[in-house]
Amino acid sequence: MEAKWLKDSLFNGFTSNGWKLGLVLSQGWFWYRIAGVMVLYCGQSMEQIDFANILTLAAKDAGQIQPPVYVKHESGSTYFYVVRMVNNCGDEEQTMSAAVKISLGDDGELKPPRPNGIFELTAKQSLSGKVRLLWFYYPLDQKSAPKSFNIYTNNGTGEVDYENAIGTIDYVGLRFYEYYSMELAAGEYLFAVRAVNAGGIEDESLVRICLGIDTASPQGIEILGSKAI
Amino acid sequence: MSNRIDFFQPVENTLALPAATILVLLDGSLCPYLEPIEIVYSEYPEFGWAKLAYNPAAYAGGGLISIEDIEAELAIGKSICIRQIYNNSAPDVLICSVPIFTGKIESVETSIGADGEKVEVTAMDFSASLKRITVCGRRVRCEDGSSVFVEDLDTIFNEDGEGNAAVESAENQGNSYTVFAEESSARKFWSCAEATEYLLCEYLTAGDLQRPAIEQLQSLTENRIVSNLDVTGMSLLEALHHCCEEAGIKFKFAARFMQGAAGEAIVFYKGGAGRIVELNCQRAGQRFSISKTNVSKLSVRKSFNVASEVTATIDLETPYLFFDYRVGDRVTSGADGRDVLGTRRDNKGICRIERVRLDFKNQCTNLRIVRQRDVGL
Repeated sequence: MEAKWLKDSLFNGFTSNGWKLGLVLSQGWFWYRIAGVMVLYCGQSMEQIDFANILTLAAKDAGQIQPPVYVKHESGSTYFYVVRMVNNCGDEEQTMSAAVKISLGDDGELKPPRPNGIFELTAKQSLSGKVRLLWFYYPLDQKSAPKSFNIYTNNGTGEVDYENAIGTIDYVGLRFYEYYSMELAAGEYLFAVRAVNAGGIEDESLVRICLGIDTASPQGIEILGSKAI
Repeated sequence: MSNRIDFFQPVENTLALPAATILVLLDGSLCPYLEPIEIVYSEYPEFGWAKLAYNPAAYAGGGLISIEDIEAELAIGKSICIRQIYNNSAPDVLICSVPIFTGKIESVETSIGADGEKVEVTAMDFSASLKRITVCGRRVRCEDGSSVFVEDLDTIFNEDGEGNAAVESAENQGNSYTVFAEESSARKFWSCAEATEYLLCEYLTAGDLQRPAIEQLQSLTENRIVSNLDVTGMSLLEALHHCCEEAGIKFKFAARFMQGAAGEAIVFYKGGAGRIVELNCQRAGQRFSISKTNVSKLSVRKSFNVASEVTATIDLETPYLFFDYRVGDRVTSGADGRDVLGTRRDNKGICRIERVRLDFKNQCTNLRIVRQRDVGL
């Protein structure tokens, strides 16, 4: 039996974990889950999973597991659940691979799935005073496929206006995408690109890029002198 | 509300692995029209290089570069960084990247033929820069603690078996390292670590290449002394190789993720003393599982090279592209599978990875593994 459960054995199995694992049946002397078991843990983030307290458990080959009814899920909150397997000797796996994130909206319902945020947004001023935005979208672990990308800007003042997109680029697969703006006046501009799915739901990325537009031509140089070398 | 959770089982039976996706940065900017063909990591004298192809199909935009103008855009000497994409925040999604190759463009091949237009770019790691530097002269420590570079003298460490290193280190261009001693001053023997550090500090600008501290080198080389090593006229790469050979260590170049610092590092190591990786092949008749088999092709050439004590060379291919094998890794096989590498039969030898090739075209990794007599690691 893993050392983690020994403190539950010390109290004859009369602990929260001991009851769930069945240690109380032998007053903490023996591991009773000889068929192996799956245990569920919960936390506010992946770094804060409470592995000291088992939330609930299920049979080793169970297809699903449900948190106890007393666990409250508040509106506007996010919860992380991790499932770990425990073998017939009470040894627990140490991975975080079986994990799920649950985000609740203000209405208490699960937030709708969103596409991933875009990746490596770069901006460059082209010769005509236009701005060229270049980005990449990677669908790794995406919850919802994107349909297009919305491009936003602050038009040179204030914050980025996420209400009014200045352009839309269709998503056509795992590729690089680019967008050319209209000709812009001199100033500091903020740009943001968000992926949007078929239901019109955007990713929540706040990544933006700042670019200074300089329309003034460089001053000509004066040749002071020259000589052959 | 239903909190239904889908489990990931520890044993994966399907082959539904996504093709590896990487990013190419050209001089630090996203480069949408280059895609890698292969990346090779190796030891002296080959070292690391990457071959990339111009592929307009990977780019949805209209600002493509014509094949005539490509050489201006992909100029020799421009830096190439290849990064692997991963999710940094599972089960949430936060796409991040980690560099797997950093180097500079060494050649651009352009061809127009029946197969269409083709542009291939070859980028080499820092070894190419070291090949171009010739070792000559000596930096000598003066009595007042300063140092002077004397071009006419040969670069011979512990000449004729007598120590010729200055007892105290000298300052030069922000580095403090052991240099040669004056004729009349106190002397000591050069250690392999000090000779290696001298070469790296003397010929490279600070910040070009990350390198280990002298204490780490001394520990790795076990403070071995150099014996009459003449590196005059050699390339810096060759000179470093001779220093390391004396100490029984090897070196390679690796990409590093450092903002505002060198993207490449020189890594010194003992062959086969690194981490241990498993290469497994299931026994005949079992149901194929990619969790239990990571060898799809294998060929073994047995021979005996007295100098290196290599008894066999094994060329091996994995069924999918795996990024994490490194040159110098020691290889074993699990007890459940076949002993295709012979590591269980021959307990007097070790197997180590000598060359890694990431094949993006065929989505597989090719490894060259050498089996050699146990050198007391």
